[in-house]
Amino acid sequence: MTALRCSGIRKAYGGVGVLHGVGFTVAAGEILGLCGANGAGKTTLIDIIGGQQSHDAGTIELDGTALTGDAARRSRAGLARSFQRPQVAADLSLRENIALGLAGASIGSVAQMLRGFVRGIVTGACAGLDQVEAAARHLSLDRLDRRAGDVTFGELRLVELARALVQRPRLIMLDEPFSGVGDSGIAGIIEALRRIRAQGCAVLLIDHNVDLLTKLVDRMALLAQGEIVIEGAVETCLADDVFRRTYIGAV
Amino acid sequence: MSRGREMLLTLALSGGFLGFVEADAYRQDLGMLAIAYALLALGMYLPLALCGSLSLAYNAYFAIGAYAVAIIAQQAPALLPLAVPLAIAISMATAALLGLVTRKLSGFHLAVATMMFGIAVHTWLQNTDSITGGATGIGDIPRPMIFGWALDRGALIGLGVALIWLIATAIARLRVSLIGVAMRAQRESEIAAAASGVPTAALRILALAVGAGIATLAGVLLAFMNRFVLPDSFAIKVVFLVLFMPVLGGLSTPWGAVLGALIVVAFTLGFDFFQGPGSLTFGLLTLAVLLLAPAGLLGGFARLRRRERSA
Repeated sequence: MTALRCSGIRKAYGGVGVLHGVGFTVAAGEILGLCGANGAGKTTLIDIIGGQQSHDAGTIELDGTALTGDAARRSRAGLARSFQRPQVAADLSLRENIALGLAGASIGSVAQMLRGFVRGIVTGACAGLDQVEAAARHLSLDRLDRRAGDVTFGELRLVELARALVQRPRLIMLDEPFSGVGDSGIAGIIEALRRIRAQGCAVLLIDHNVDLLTKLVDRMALLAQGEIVIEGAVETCLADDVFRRTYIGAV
Repeated sequence: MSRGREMLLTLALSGGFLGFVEADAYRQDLGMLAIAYALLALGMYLPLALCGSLSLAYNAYFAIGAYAVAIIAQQAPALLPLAVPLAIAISMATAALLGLVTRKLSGFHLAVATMMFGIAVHTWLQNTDSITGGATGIGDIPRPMIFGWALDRGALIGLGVALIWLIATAIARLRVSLIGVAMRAQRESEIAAAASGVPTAALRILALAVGAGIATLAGVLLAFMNRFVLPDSFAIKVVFLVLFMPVLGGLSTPWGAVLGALIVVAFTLGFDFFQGPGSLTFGLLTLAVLLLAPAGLLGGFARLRRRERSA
């Protein structure tokens, strides 16, 4: 079953085209590796899907329904993501940053917000911390009382992933999740991605590490000159001349 | 400090405050002013410390509370019990509207728009003689009745202290709850909060509206205490006095706002020595605190305790 379907996505910055009609799909329970040289438009593409950037033309569907509106609304529709440069609240603890992933489901509408307001005063505690602890444990993140501003870049990537996982998304988009992460963290990320794949979540993964990608992903897509030039099984892509020349050769 | 111990300690301190101010009429007046300022500071603390939203219309919400009581007492005394919910509703709706029209703009625009509104309300109070009594205000406000019992000055102060304890405790609990986490997170990374499904603008508007509602209570209590209202109690300068209360006391807990209010009243009015140069002393004191303890008095105190424990 197709989870994410993009077609004809166009984007230009001040008349300079970046994406010229990009189309691809990610099935439920599938990991798609999105490759492309620096500046190919990978981050622009997932920013458009996530609602962080607008696009000029094209459609995006999640589970057969058009994905529209602002980033918060898309998140509540089942989309979670991490950022190339980790986006966290520096003054909050790691625990609170991960718990933020639970907020969309429980205070997403105005009625929920009012209920959450009253519930917060009555309980005087953050709901769902057991899920937060579990997600952190799976990724070998500990000492969750630390300020997010005080931990390493690699740990922030794990915090972002944990925050995305507690959202229980239908689609998760990760922008270079391995960069700056230590070996145990990488193992934790891979295990987490395999687990949510088994649960039927679709994963869209951007990374430069081709060795790592080929071991992990089910299919790959190559973005070059603003278009998807190849999309298919890992072996097909690795055997393809264009893929070798434009991507592996360029690294 | 654990949540339970904080609640007990603040309850004990509130009781001590009550015992101190109930002693004579002069202390009662100072005490009520401190209560009103503390409620204003708490109302400002909620959107400012949790959401990072700086609204400067607090003199207007203060005035709405006081003038709703005064005008209804004068024009339709039978409806006086409705004055409080009506005033809170008007303030909350106003704050939500001001937040809504500036939601797409940066925080600076919210500050400017709310300050203009605050100034406009003060001018309107001074100049609309037929409704607000103009510069001479409105007098002869009756004592409020609750279940057939007229609240005297002592009872009003007790009510004010109870309200402060309840509101500060509620905000402290809200702060650590999931919605409090979302509020503080969007203050630092709106991108992260939005990507997690948080309707950030709606959350900020909610905090602004609730903060305005809290500030309205200050006006209601002050009007019933003094039994008159004067427009100059609600000038914009009140806002700048109140703005520094949470900063002085410390933004990490709503009790910092209450502490800041007590310090301001003590320094500007409480001690004979400071009465003349009170505002100047307060200004210098705030600067000294910001230099020596950027996290405010309670924040600096917590840091000292941590250092002692680890030493």
